[in-house]
Amino acid sequence: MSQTQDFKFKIGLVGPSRVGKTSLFAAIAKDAPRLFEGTPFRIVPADGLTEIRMANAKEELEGALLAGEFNPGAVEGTQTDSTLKFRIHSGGYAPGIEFNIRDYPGRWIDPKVRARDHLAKEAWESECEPHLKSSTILIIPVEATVLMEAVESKHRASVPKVLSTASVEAVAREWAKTRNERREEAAVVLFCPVKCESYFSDNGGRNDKSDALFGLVRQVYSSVIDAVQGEASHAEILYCPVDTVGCVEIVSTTWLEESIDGQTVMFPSSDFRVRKDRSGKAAARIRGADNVLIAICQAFVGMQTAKAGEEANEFGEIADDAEEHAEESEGFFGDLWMWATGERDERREFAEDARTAANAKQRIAESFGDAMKRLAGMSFSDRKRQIR
Amino acid sequence: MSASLYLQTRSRTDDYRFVGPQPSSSWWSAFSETKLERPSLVVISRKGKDWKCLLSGIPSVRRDRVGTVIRYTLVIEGNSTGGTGAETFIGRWLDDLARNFVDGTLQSVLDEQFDEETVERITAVEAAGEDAVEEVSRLLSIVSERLAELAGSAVTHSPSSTPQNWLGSTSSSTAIAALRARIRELLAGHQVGCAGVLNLVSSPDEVRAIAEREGSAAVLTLDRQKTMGDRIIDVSAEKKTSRNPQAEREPANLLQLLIQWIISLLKTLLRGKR
Repeated sequence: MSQTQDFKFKIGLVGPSRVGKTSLFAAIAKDAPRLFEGTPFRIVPADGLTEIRMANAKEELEGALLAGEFNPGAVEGTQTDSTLKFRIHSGGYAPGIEFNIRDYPGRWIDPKVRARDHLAKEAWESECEPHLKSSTILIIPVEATVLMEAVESKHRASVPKVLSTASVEAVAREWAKTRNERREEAAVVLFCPVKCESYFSDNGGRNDKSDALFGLVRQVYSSVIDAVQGEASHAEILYCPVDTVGCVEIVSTTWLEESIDGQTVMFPSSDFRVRKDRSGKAAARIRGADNVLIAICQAFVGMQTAKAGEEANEFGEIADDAEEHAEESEGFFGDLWMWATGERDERREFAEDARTAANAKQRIAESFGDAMKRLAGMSFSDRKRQIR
Repeated sequence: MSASLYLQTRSRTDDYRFVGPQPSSSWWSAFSETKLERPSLVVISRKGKDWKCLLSGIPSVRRDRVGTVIRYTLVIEGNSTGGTGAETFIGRWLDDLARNFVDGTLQSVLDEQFDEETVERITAVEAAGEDAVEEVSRLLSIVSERLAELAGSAVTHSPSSTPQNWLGSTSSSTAIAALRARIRELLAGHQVGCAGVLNLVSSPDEVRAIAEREGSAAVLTLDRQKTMGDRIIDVSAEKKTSRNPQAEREPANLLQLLIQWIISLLKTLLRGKR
């Protein structure tokens, strides 16, 4: 559960409805134990509600793979906003990193929706927007199948609308503006294509179309990349594709005409086959989520190690002042009065407490620094690429 | 039904939203103890006269573009003179919950009025900036009438007395009867607080926190393992038995208080002189 000494961060999430925002974090939470194998680190839900939500997401994924078939419809859409809280720590009393992610219905990113839905507008302005602006990392989930299965020109024409790239660009630009005002903090954008199973050959797939996927992300999101680069030139932009299920593969895709905002837009509808292991079992095999987690850890490392050191120094200065004040002479009568009333002892007790707290902070800063260096030292897997 | 009724659902491509009229605020967002995507029931009466109610997780026959079952959420708001209609909705929802919403009455009545063609048309009309309040209100009135016509389930007698704040299980008929009784009190303005089925609640402490926030709390949890049985856990009683270490540290008698007061007075005088 959450610890008061933890260093806390916010992570922003921006993507349209049903892109897989919640599933991405369920995959990260599920895959993290593998990443931290052989290290003292673990990732846990930082509150009971996140724990239950992640358990529900896991159940949904298992339900989706029931009876050897994959039914993407078994994964619920998000109906309201909520905060997911995770904690990375190395056990015991050592401080860790707590990161909070605001999850919300994807339609809220569209300003036209907020203009006509006052509840969406209020929730966006009071909770989601402030969270996004104060987030050091912005994650943009991308539905890989929309990019890769768009083979005809009429499909490709629908892609920006299906992925809401204009709204994503507006949110990313605002985020980058704030990052530019806080250049002492990290600024990282992670493009995370999800549902990538059919386009990589490193997780049981037969075809490697990873270069094509990377090219399409850069092309379709070029306006988002340019906006971030233009507003915050120091921002790092990474590409971390994730197999949120792992053991599935697209068999066929049909593009269906749907109505969105009164316009006809084409959406892909895919049929999947399940890749079973040698024992004939279909089990989720997440891939690529480790890169997202490493990117998160690395973004926090430098910033927080410095912050931990600053806090320790501040506590040390308070202890120095308290010790000086405790022994300060108040004149003969003043000193006599302080002795009689016990104030001198009180001052010394306070100074002692302040020194104990400063020493504790120093130890925390040192242990946090060591832990962070180990986290930052983890290597990305081959899927991660640098965009800027 | 004199209360106001609101409906949240989605179309194949457009996300969850209220179709037609919208409630004035999303008051339910304070209830992080429940996941609205799963069956949830929240009834609150904060001033004792006005009440608000939310019923979620009602499945429809419709599916979204990914193939996920589309759900309905109903919000009902009114005052102590118009609670009967809300009671009908709540009673149906609890009956449907007992059957895991399989062949549910609420689903069937809502689906009759809000079929795919109707919802797609209404969401398209609203996306174009036009108003669908009148049409949705008319359809919701039909839903209310249809529900009132249908016979309800036999009401189980509630326990003779229940604590002010308690936790029970949705698998217990006694707890469900107690919840219905508490909801009747809230809707009639005889009680201030909250009652409902909150699917993320797992401990009496969480119910206690809700009671402190809302004034009172009667909560059913899903209790899938059925470990709670028919028990109604008195959350208030547990609080009374807890010891308060702060209170134990307080001065035991007046003499101690007097000495402390004199010392603090002398200290203040000395600081004033400096």
